Amino acid sequence: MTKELGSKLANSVRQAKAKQPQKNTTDAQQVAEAPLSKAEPELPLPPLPVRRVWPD
Amino acid sequence: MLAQVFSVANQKGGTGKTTLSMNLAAGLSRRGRTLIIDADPQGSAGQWAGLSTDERPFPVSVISVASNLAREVSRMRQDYQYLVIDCPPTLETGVAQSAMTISDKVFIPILPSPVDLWASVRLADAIDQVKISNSRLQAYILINQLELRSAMSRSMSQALAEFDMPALQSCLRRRAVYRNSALEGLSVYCMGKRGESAVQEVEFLIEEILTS
Repeated sequence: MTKELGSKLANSVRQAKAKQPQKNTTDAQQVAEAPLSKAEPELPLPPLPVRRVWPD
Repeated sequence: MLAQVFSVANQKGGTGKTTLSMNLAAGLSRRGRTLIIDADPQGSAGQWAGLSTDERPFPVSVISVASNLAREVSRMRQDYQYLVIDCPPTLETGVAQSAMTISDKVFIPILPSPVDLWASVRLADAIDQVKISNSRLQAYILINQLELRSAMSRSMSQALAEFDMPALQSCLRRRAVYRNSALEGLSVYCMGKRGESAVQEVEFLIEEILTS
């Protein structure tokens, strides 16, 4: 029973993986290799990026 | 020494990210200075700790980081031994990816259900992408709310073998004390006898995390 259910679950995961859109390796490499300093200038800090919520 | 950074992520809601973050951090705080970073705009971690009383405060500070997560984490890394980032339940904003980019380890709580398994397929892909820029990132699946008597729970290991990332041997059982401790603004460590079994499994989890 457990084994059968396990196979069903495993199959469903395989199907979910097959339905995933193909990974775009080129895009990922471009993102990883993009020079951050030129292409993405630092944005000014928002007034309160960090808020201590506990303890007050 | 710089802090170890642990993220708790899953783009699916309701898998126990905050519960894991809070109890993991409470256990880690017994070993070294720990901070919880609430990167989820829902602010559940802050709400949780905020429910504690002055007499029984939550043992770990919580900060909410709305932006510049990487910068803030790198700043805090020097002051703590462990940072635990509670990620938002989405991949759309890029916050979870940012958290993983600056983490040493990411833990993915998954409930023993087909829907949770399917949802995690996409997260596994996102982790692969993050690893391009953070090759030291180690990702682990953690089964949460395990029910030993349920056939579905017992069948999980076969399905988890389909993922390209390992599952931790430790798992968290489905226990009322996890929910009750949230309501009191505490961790399971402060729940006395009611929390003993939960503490035991969290301790086992932490030992595994720190040695894996």
